[in-house]
Amino acid sequence: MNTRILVVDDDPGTRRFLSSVLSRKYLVQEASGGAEALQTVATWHPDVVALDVSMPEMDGLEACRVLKSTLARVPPVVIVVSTKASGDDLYRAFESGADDYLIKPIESHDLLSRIHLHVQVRTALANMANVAALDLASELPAIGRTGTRHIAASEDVAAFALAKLAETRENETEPHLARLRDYAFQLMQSLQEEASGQRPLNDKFIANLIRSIPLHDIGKVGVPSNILRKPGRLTTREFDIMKRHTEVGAHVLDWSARYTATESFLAVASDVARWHHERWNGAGYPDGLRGESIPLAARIVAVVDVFEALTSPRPDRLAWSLADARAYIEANTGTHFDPTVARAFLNSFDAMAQIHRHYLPARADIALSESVVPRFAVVAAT
Amino acid sequence: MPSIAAFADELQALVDLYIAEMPERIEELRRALSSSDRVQLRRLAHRLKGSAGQYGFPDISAQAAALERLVCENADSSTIHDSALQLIAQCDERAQLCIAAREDKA
Repeated sequence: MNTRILVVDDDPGTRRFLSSVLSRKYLVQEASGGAEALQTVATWHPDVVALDVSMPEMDGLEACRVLKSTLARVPPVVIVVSTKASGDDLYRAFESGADDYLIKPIESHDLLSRIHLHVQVRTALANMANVAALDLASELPAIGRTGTRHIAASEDVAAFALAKLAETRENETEPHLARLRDYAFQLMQSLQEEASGQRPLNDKFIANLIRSIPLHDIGKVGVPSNILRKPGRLTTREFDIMKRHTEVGAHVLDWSARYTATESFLAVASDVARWHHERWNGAGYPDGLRGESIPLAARIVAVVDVFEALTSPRPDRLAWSLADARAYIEANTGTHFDPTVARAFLNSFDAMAQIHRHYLPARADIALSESVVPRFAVVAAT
Repeated sequence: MPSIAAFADELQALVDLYIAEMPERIEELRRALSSSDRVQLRRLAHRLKGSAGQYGFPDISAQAAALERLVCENADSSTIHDSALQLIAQCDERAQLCIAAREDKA
């Protein structure tokens, strides 16, 4: 399949540069303005549009809005390209429906790898949409059964590709996501045991949350690299931009959920992405939710995410010891953390410590690929 | 996928082409400046900011950004004029340097 990319920029020099990089792998066309871009999208159906923001007549954001709202049932992926990098510009780009954001000057490797991942996600989502339609045809039960397996596989590929997309922006060498997943699983088991036979969490919830974990920080694709990778403390303004990763993430996942079967784990993933920085006492962000109005999935991720952050080294500090991290969780129980969840975490602390030690940095690839690659093989074969 | 070396050649060809077009860009800037066409001047500066950065000329990009900002902020004519002339001089100088370097190699 030949993936089509449309490059939109009013400057011929920039257009030529992006085209020649992209044409090594893709079919490429160019447009010099918003109106021309819309026309080309309608007739040529590109998979991805790399869209300059400030152009005379119809600017990039306006073109993006039209493109996302009216043109097609499954509009192309839009990557906004701009020299500006303020948080407001970013926010406006995502509000107008853009899927990603690149800042000029663009590294050719960056451009190619980001587009590659978007194409993977788009293909996986398209598979889901097709199979969901097939499932409705009850007279074809055999296809329906294959279809269900296919959906799960595609969803995992989409989840993994999305998560990788966020990860490419950070210098992650730690098997962060795999460890988080194991902490969360252990924590949910401990919640089950403490409810003395009541099993407050059903299997579906547990499975959905486990699959959501890699996506909790997906919104960081919307945070400029200079903020994301800044070693020291963020300024207030930078932190405000950083905080938006919760809303951007939920937005991306809500969008993805629209193309999937109705009972998708993506709804849980969206809740987790949006609210994993909320606090039990209402002092968190982005919405300042309090107590049980914060979805349980997000309350669970809040505890394990903080624990993982504290016990991992950061550019500007060493990793905390397990004992210090434990003391921190304890001290913030009932203020930052849901007391029931935090207590369950502390009660199974030995198991958490074991998980922490289990993942040496060298195991990162094994840990993630175990859960995803075998299923991906199913998609590739069909 | 073409080799890295082939891609480096391709990139060099792109930069050469960009440099070859520099007189045209300078001429456009001059025309906008002499006709006091601020809309056009802002547009040209904005384009130059993006493309020069992309082709590996951050100093031109920075100067173009400065000019764009001045026009946006409606600075007085002489300030804008000076800034634009500086940008033109910079474009010219960088283009000459690149051409000289190419000739040295050949």
